[in-house]
Amino acid sequence: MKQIKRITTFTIILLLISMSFGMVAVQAAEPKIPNPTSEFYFNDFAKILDPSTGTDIVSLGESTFKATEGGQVVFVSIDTIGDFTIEEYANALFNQWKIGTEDKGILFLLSMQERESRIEVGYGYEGVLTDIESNKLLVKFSELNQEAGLDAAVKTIYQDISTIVTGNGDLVQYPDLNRSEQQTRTENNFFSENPIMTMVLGIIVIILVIIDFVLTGGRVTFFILRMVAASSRRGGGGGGNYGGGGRSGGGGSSGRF
Amino acid sequence: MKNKSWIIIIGIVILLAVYVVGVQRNLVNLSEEVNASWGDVEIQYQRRADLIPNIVETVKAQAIKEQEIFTQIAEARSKLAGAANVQEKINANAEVSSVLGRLLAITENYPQLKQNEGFQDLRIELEGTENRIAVARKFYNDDVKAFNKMVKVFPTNITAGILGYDAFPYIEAEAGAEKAPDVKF
Repeated sequence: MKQIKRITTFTIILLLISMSFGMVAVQAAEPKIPNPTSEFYFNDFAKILDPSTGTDIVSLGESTFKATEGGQVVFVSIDTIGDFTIEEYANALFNQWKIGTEDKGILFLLSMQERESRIEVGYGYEGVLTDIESNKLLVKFSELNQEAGLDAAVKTIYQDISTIVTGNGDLVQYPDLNRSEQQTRTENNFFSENPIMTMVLGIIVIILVIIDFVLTGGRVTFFILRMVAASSRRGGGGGGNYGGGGRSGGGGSSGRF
Repeated sequence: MKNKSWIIIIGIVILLAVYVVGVQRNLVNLSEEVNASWGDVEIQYQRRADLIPNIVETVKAQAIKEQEIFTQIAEARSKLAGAANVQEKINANAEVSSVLGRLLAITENYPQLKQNEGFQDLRIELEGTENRIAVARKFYNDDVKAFNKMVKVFPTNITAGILGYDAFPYIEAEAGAEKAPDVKF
């Protein structure tokens, strides 16, 4: 009888704990973003440009990176943005690739099927390349595309962006805040994404805690609890080929070509 | 035998305490994130609010027929100034969005405004700001969703209720109004 009671109690606790971990889940629909190429600065996924354009852009991107101490200008062409707006897609890509060190990043994105373009500007460059300037660049891009073709137009605009960011050493940040706190946002919750793993982990933890209480009176458990309380927030970013950890809050401008 | 059952009872109590502390920690962390992302939303709302006087001035200079739009803008702005809590601010800004959308639709009828470079720049600024609002809103809503789940769904809602946590309001995207106005050339 006692055995049965015990088992039921444990099951209930086990359920409670595993449920508490598995709570936070369900994200809004996000566009599927491809991984950056090994060149990082040049990602011609739509295969619309000459390889020599790519070589030029990559070397310009590298010199821009050096001149600006971490600023990254990234070109991306894709076939389609799907059901998303160019703004949504650009922002998702920018933040996933973490373009730019200290948020000094700029994304130049073309979606071929929709013939839409966007220059997405990271927080660190919002004062250097304003929305109005981005818009002018895209108008110029559209005109150049008609007159001189895609390769020349992409190269010119990339060069313009590079000139703008290297020409101005001083950065005016907008919004002027310490945003480092929000880095945890995208990494989010390990537990929410792996409900089965969470269950298994929960069971293991419970077994360990019980063993601990039976053997040592819970010393190890309390020790771990204190550690957890002290460590508080998770930090740091993960992954990303060459991204410097930059974020964008939707600065820049969109256009057609 | 008696000893053993005591150990088990204490174990259960401790496990429950661990659980409650865990939930509380999560609630604090998540609500901090909501607060931070709400701050970002407010910055962008403010940025848009700051653009309105310039836009109104430029449009007024063109002597448009639809004068009642300016009264509506003034009303929306005073509601914005009077908004005290998060929900009121969200509502007031939704009204600002829709009245600005109407203003831009009106300006479509005045070709001289389309050629006015100052006005076009203001439109680009507004477009950029609306997009920033959309991004900030998305982050805010994501954070709110994570937090509200804990507050509303069993079993964490029990702990949240005892600790006195309330759900945060979402910022709904209105059809058309919240979408960045098109300034494509």
